[in-house]
Amino acid sequence: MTSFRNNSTGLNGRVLTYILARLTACALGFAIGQAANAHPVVFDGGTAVMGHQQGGMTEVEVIHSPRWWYGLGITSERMASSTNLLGKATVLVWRGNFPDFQSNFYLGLAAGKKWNSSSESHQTAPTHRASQQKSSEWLYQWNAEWDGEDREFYGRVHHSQTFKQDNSRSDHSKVRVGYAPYKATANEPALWGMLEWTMHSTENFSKTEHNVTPLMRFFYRNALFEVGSSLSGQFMFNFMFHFF
Amino acid sequence: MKSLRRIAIFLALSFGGIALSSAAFADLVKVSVNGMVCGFCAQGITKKLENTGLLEKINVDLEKKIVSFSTLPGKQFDDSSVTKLITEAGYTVVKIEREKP
Repeated sequence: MTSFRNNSTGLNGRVLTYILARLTACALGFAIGQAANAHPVVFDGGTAVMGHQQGGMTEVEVIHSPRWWYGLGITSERMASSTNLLGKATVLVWRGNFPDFQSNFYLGLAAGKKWNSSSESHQTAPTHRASQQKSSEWLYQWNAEWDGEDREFYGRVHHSQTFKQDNSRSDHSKVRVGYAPYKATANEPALWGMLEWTMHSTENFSKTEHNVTPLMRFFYRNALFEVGSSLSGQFMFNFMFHFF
Repeated sequence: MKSLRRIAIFLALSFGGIALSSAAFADLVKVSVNGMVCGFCAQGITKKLENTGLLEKINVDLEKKIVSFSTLPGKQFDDSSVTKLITEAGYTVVKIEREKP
């Protein structure tokens, strides 16, 4: 009996461990594959971990703000055919603090490397040798962002340009509007409905992609989650945690 | 000469008592702040104030746009320190009110 009980406990333990392992794997899976979707500068002395996933694009970003007006961070962007790793610095150039409204304008610079995966080398058969030889290249990026929000309405406009070593350029634009059905206090969960439009062009606008995504934002204390699905059916998941 | 000494002792005790009583009781401070619109704003300000180790009962009211807190008994936290701290957190102080309990 004792032995049975021990076995049973052991079985339950293994099942529990298995479930926890699966849950952890799922959480890490989301985390490893995901981009930032709120202020690119955290509050004074704060650190933010952010993630974004949509379609074949996943991004994880860690930002630390030694002061409230600038942030330093690292971003990892994973796509089907490549991985980018960028170090970035963002400056809050202007902040407007109004009684019921806050508005910010940011400028950022980033630099890093892009690693092309083997699949890209195979896809570009005519330049296979060249791709293999040039498996990584430097990237440089600048970005500008404006946001404005009160407790009911939210707006954000973001644009970035990324330059590769071969002088080709990709542009990424994002516009967001949001509405909160109720004005949450500091200690209660906040809920937002949002609509996002993105434009992504690669290789000097030779290929341009547009996406419209309705999404829901859940926000409580230091945690933020966003879930949505684009009109073309691409699932979106974003998260952000703030730490001190 | 004796009466002068008595007056001096009386004054010293009176001022000492006033100083002690003001130090022993905590101030309730209410700060009107512009730019607070979300929970992250509230969290940033709260953490910044907590880190001083001089304050307690810190509360952020987004509706009234007021940050309120009490100074710990025997601790001082003057208006210029309040303004500096909240400005450093990225927000704008409009007005500071103090209440003695």
